[in-house]
Amino acid sequence: MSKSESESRENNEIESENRILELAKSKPNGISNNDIKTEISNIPPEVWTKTVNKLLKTGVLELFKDKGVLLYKYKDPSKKTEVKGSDNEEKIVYKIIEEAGNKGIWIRDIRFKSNLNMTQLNKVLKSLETKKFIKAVKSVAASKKKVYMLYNLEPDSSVTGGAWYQDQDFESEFVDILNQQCFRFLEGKRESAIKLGGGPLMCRNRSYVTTTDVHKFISELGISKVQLSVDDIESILYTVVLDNKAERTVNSNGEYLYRAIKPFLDPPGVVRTTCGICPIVDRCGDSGLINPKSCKYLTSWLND
Amino acid sequence: MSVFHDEIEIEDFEYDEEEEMYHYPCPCGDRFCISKEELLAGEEIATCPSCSLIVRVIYDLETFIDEITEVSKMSGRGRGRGGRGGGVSFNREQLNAIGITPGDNLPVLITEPPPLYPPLNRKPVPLQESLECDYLIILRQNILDQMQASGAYLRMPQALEKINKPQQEISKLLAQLSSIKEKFDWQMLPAELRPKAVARRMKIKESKSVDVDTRLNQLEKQENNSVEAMDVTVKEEGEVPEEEEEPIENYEDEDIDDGTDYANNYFDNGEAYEDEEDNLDDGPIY
Amino acid sequence: MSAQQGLVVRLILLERFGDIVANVGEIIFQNPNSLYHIAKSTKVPLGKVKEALSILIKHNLASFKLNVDGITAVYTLNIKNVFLMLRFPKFINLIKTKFDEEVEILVEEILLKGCLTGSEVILKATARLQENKNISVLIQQLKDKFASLVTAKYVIKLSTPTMKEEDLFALPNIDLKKLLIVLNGGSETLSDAGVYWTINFDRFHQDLRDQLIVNAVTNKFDENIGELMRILLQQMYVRTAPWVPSSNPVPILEVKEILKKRNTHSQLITHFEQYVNILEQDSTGIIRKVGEASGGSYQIEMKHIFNQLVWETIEHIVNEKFDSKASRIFRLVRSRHYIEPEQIQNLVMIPAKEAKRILYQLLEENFLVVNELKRSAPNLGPNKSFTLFHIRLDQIIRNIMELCYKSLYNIMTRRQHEKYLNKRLIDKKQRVDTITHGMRVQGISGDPVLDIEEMITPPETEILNRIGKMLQKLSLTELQIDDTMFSLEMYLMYD
Repeated sequence: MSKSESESRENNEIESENRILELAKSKPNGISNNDIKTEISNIPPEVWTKTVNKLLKTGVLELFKDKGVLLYKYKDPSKKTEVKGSDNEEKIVYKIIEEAGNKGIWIRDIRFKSNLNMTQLNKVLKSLETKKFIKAVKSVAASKKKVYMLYNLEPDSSVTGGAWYQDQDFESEFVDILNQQCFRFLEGKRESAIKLGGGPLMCRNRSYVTTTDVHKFISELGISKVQLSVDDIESILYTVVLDNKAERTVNSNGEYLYRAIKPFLDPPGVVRTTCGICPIVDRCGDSGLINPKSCKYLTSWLND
Repeated sequence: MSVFHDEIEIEDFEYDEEEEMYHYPCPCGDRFCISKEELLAGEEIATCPSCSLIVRVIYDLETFIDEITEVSKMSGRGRGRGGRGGGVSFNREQLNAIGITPGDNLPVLITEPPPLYPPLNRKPVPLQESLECDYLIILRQNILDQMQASGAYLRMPQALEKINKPQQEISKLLAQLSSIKEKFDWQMLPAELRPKAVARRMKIKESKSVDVDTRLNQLEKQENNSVEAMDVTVKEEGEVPEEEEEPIENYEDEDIDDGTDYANNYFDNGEAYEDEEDNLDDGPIY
Repeated sequence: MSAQQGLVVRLILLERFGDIVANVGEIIFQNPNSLYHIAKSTKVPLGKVKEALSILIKHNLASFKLNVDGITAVYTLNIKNVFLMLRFPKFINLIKTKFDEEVEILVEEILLKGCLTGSEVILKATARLQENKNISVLIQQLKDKFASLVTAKYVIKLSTPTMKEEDLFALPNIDLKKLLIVLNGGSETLSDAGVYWTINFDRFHQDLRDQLIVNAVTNKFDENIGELMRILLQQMYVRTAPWVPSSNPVPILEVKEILKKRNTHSQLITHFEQYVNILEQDSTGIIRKVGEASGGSYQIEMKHIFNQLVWETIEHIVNEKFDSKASRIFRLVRSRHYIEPEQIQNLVMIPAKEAKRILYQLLEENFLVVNELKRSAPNLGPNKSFTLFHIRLDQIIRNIMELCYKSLYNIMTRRQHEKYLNKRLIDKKQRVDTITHGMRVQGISGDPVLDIEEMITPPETEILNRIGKMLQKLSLTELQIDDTMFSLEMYLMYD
């Protein structure tokens, strides 16, 4: 082995390290062996594989597997310091949680991704929690379901539920009141449009309101402790539409317009007796304890 | 066997549904854990992952199994892990998706049977009321009254016998009133539905109108029939085309006249149906 | 055809024709059957079975198919027609509002007897109306009125296999002279013997259907648009067969002309075009503009209208059977067709747990169904599949029909039971009424009548009043459940 040969190999190694790092930095989603092969074709594989191994060992590159393909990702050394003093398992778990962002990640998913067993994982999570790297946040999507995310992150509204949640509890009364108030506003608008007169078309058009109008009305009512956004009101208005009390159309600006409407029909005859709304109708028969002759519901309804 | 740090009742453990694990705090700062599966398998030692301490879980295996199966029955999951419940329509995943998690449905101790009629927490919508509705009710009652008073309202003969004598007589008299008897246009009905009395009258009419030869033939036939005791339907078959040429109102008049003896036939002899005797008796009429 | 339906059929027949006909009806409801088999299964004397079958056939409640021997037959129940008897009061009322009381009586007589010849109808009506009237004038009037019923197709000839379709509404030859002879007690062959008329239910349904649409439109918009709808429907018949799903175009100017002539809704005439616009632009798509010529012409989307109405009916039922949150979820699933549970929770703004409870309830009662889709990519973990909720309308309609049968059955059973429980008292009251009525007719009044009336004690009167109210409530319910069934039937008609 001549001196020049060993020199050039050293050069090669330095070059390959720089090139691979550059490549990895430019592709945050990771680079595959093929990428390296095509990008630095002048460096022999045995050299760059060595480099890659070295980088992996020092933690500058990280190894991932996606759809059966090995990927190397560049790891920012500044972030690396955060998990200083942690062992490898903590690093992996931290990584997984970091990727989940402010939506958080469920413990079961962490387990699947990390391949750690339950007891181990519990321990790791607990240690990360005490070190204040991560925190557990209760998700509103399912009661008792905890998701983990980095300590300094503000949970996403899909986790906290946004304006409608107070400590993970959905404030359904608040929503109901808003639903009623929104409908009252639409209804008032409709009535005043009729009073104003003019042609029927004008009446109809005057009874349309935009979400902003409703937002303004609700804000002025001052019934909300929290600041509601126009989008929040939009959600409420949609429930009014779903209650078949309003209709929604789009105006020329692409904005939604709402209007109070009336239904075609009154409730049908079949729900005008207890049998139509009976919770145990399936168990009702001619013989047996539940029967039409002695039915308590019918009795109290008939004596009404 | 090592020494238990403590004995803890299962109720004091915290249950984690996602992991199906029971936890209890350990003095070392970590938690003892034991999985539902282990408990079901009869295991009663919960271990702490961080230190060597162990605790014994106090629980009754049977009650525990009952509770668990109760929950998994609702989730249609069956006993075996991952096995899809045979006839039940939802698997665990679907139930999870619609949010029924096992923990939600842990049974509560119930000391009395549920009420037969659970309280109805809402009332039906009141009936629509209007003058039109009132009128419809009157019309409805009116129609029913008229239908019940008409001849089309049939009563079982046995029922007549049960009621007292004078009432029975009244009913019989009523049945004889021509207006009360339902009239039929026999042409519109299958021949087999004609009461025998009507059929008999028809035959008389026919025998008057047909010539001697045919009549003789018929008599001959009749004789054969009575000897061979042939079915009534066969006999009537030949008569049908002739009957249909008869003017209708005659039938109706006859029906009215015959109504009573027809009715009496049946009131007197309710058992006589399916009896072929009547046909054989027809003979002398010819 | 369901078992529940059979139970209702039995009760309907029992109330109107007594137990023999009810028993016979029950047997041929289950299966078409022969005379002897019916007699055997019902244990009713053969003669009575024959009579019962004759009654059913005459009232168009059963039909028969002759066997090859031409004498014996197989009998089938016309289930639909049995249920139609619940609707008779509505038919009579409709005729009364559309014509007058005399026509009402003509229709009533045919309904009561199943079928009658033209002369018979007139004879029966004359018997009821002849008081203080010139008989020959009266029968002439009745003949004309019967003719107008035929022309308007409210009655139809009982069809025979040989009859041509155009003959179904051909006017009968009614000889009034012969009628007069019969009325005076003479016997005479009536000129139209053998030509039977029965009620043309389709025609009545057409009117009830139009009324339903006009009422619905009036509810949703206002009276003016209701009136507009009414005239539109009326003009629809000029060019369109009554039961097509989507009408031929109706020139809107025609409607305007009619309104101008009538001049009843001035507001509607002044803003005519605007009202038409409102009706047309409504998201429910009741009418559709198809031509610009001569002020535009519009199609009436019948099928669409009933699709809309049946959805609303079901939504109401969900609302009452569960609650408003449930109907909100139901409407959401309807508008999205297929939807995941998470989306539902977010959009309906109901606490997750409650939303799940409601979803499960709706699922349990078959108002919703679940579809499971496997995710395409192999995916570890709990989310191997999507769960999608959706609605199967046909299934729901079947279930609601069943619910109607069940409710009808219960209501009728209860009514029968209440009557049975208080039979003694009701009978007593009836006797007292008959006696007092008789006395009044004889010109007796004052104390003797009061004495008889006092045989019913005040507490008894109170009970009688209570029962009377109860029975009325039950009857009204029966009529209104039938309304629900009518709107479902209309939907199925166009489906």
